[in-house]
Amino acid sequence: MASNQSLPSTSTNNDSTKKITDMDMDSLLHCTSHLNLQDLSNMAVSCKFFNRLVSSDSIWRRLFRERWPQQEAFIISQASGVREAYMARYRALQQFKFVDPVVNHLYIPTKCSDILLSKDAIYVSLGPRIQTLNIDKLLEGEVSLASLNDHRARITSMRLFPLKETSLFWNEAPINENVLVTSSCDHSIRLWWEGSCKQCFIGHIGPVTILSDKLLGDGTGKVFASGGEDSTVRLWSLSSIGRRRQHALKATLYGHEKPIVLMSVTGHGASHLVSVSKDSKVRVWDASISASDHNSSCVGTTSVSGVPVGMKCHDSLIYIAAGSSFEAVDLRTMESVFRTSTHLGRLYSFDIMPSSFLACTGGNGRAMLWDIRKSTGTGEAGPMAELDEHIGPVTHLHMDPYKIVTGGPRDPWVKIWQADTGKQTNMLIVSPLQKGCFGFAADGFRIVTADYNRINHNREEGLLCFRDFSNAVSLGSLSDEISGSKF
Amino acid sequence: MSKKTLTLMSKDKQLFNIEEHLAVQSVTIRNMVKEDGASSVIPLPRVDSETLALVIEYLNRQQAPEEDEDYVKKFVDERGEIPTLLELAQAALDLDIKKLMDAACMKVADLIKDFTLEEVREALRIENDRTPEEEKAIRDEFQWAF
Repeated sequence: MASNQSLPSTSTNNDSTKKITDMDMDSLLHCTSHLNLQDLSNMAVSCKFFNRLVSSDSIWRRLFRERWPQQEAFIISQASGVREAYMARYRALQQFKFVDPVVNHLYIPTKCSDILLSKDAIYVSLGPRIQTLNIDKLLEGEVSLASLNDHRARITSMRLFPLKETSLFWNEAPINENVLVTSSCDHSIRLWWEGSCKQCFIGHIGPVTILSDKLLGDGTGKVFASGGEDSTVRLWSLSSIGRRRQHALKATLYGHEKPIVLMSVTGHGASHLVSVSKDSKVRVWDASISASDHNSSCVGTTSVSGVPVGMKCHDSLIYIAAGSSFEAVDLRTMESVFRTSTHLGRLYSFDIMPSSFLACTGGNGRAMLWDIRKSTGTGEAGPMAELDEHIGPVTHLHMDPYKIVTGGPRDPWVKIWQADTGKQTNMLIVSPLQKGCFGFAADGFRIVTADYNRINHNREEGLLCFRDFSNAVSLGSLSDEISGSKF
Repeated sequence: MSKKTLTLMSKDKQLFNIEEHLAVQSVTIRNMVKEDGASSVIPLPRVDSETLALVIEYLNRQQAPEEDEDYVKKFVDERGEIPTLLELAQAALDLDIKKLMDAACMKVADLIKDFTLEEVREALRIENDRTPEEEKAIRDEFQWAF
């Protein structure tokens, strides 16, 4: 029989341990049609065989279609290099290189002091109030605004902590929710979830000035930290919420002599906390050491020169911007290992992408991009690029792997720059009020900017402008050459 | 005359009988029958007897159309062992049995979906075939997706 020639010669190898890498490409490709980008990335990293599989055009064509259905015609016309096309568009969107994002406006009654952006909401602090704005509703042209009114004085700091890291309400909540924590001049800290205050943390003697950027500790014993005008750092438990409120205050750390202005959790085991006080003194605390003897919690001190501007910890380094320079301090030795030149004028803002060795500082009329690998040691580093042509101080700065966003209260334009080169990719008007940037929050494809106008001594207005680039299609010509008149 | 019966032969040369009208749910078998009449044994050199028994069980199912979806899902869900599931998915693809293929592939994808890299490696017994340097390079390359 003709069909018999395909009989296998070795049929004894009937092992019951088939592995996924023994399957052929076609079968596996069929399986991948249920997987998202994250799953596919895991596959590609897991072994070389899967990486070859995940390079397949058909997978990227599907991902492209799912993410940008309106662009289907374009991607069908691509015969090859679909993954490259996906990446190019992804990168360009991340860098806001488009002129046609979806734009929504919302009037607010006064100047905003801080803005946060989460997956589905915008949080704006206005004096003692927080307004939360549902983004999905906003995109449908509907304003769904909730006001959180319990604080009785100005809000000084807002943080979003992932609910899954807090062990709070975990059995009723979806996995990606955040809890909002706010500190206020009314001496209290409040934790909010689902539109209402779930707990008030009281203990500071005086206004609370700052909250830690991340949670401390591991597993179930998560805590967050706060700093106050009372010069103390306090640690608050997130696992005792409910009836035993008096136990929420886990420790009070003494040592600073002036109000705390900056605070950051180190990446190193997440049990260390760095705080900076108004007098530029820096203290490192080990939150895992029992607070019975306060002094023992402080495991390192140093000081910087000038007014503290910003701080971020990464691995064993603390990056602190103060006065007119920023430096990196090694946590283990408390020695400065990197310092920038001090001759470029006062700093107003600071952000850093330690994983790509880039930092950005906001100065007067410009921001500067720094390569933190260059000139480590005692020499003073110069900037890698100057992000020029801002009016007035650059007080607001955002940095992510793709872009830098800069803005200040005297400049009606927010500017977008390529993170790795400092080349300008776009500029956005803060709002139709055209006054200046009084705050913004940005993430991958989205940005919300806040404008403010004082009409006379008893009339004022604020305007939020939300832009979503996820489905933008018209590339601006700005990535090559830019001048303000093009808009 | 009774319904026509086909004989399928597995990789390890075991023979299975199945009525032709049921067997042709597999597009591959249907094409083979069309091509040469297939009066004799149809060899399936990539499918072992254990898996072929499962496939035959599936093809022989007597489900009302409206219950069929649930049946397929349950049938695949019962294959708890990963190697069995992989064999079944591969066989369903080779034999082009659409519903079984979709359900089995979905189940294979579930072994990867929403797990971390380490969990995927462990569950599927994937050996890391990269040097630490190569691993870092590929992680960096895919960093943007995380």
